[in-house]
Amino acid sequence: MGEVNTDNRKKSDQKSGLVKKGKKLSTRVDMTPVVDLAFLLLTFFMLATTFIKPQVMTLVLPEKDNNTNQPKVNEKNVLNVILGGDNKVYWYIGFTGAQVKETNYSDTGLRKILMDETKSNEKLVVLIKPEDKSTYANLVNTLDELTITGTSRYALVTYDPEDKALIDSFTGGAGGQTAGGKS
Amino acid sequence: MTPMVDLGFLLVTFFMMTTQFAPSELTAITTPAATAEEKLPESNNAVIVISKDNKVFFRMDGVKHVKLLGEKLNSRYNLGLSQSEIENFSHQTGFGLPFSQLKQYLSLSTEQQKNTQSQFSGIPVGGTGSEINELTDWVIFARIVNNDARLVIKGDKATNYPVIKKVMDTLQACNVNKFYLITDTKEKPKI
Repeated sequence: MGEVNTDNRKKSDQKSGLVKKGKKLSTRVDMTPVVDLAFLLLTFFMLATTFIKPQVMTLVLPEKDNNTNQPKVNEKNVLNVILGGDNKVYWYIGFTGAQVKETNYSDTGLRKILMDETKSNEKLVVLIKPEDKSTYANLVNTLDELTITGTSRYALVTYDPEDKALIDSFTGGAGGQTAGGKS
Repeated sequence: MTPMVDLGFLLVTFFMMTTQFAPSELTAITTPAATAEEKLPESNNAVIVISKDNKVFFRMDGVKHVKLLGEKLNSRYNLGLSQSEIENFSHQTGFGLPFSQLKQYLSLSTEQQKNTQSQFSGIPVGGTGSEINELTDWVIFARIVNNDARLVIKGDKATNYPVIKKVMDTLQACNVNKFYLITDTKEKPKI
């Protein structure tokens, strides 16, 4: 094991015999606890450094106040994703005569829809419209699904009264009243 | 053995010097999980924390920057902070009070400050009404004191969307169009 040799013959030779006698006792220091401590600290700091860095998702929003330059998209190429309360997702394509369907955040839900729709229409633009009752987790989930499916054309837009009317007629107005259409 | 111990201590010293401890949050936050793999750099972050009861907090990296931020805000809003209160300001882990209550809070002892932290009302972010939006000032001044400040949103899973929207609108209004959302790890699915 680790030890420190403190043999210092010349100095002790000058001293009396008594000291010489004492010198015969081992002056080796057991380093084991020190080493233990050192490695304990080492492990601690190693873990503390690497596990700290939080994971992030980058979000780039368009500049504000340039309503004049907003691109126009054919409504047939628009996939509306409404994030409702209680982890519900509604989606429909286009606007006129749109058929609202309900889905969820599972692998076979939103992800499948995004994959199928982007495959069948390359020009597809996804509009995310979070309802007031939806949570931050819903938004992050949706953004994540977009990343997973490699959908790069999407926008975060406000949930307007027209959308609310559509969803209300789909749900039978049950959830609509508390949702609040103001945005 | 000796060389090994030497190396051990060398590493200990190295890690001790380089480690930056995670800043403790004023409130407990459970971030939503996502598959994003990007890591947040350790310094130059200005973090907007949004708790699940929809309160907004602000924190910034670097004592030097926070101190400068305190001085700027003090002179801009006539908060009347003394030198020692500004010093105290720079050591705070985060802020969750309207400017009007800052001085009173900073004059408290550390112990008293800890006790009042649970009653923080959050930074006013404005709304539909005429309510003022003080987050704008935090963001603008954070960018003034540190040009490289990276705006980060750390929201709780259960935060309601309207608050998130208000914060994002505030950032956009301050011309911060690129920002980061702190997420939890989730395994990447196979497609």
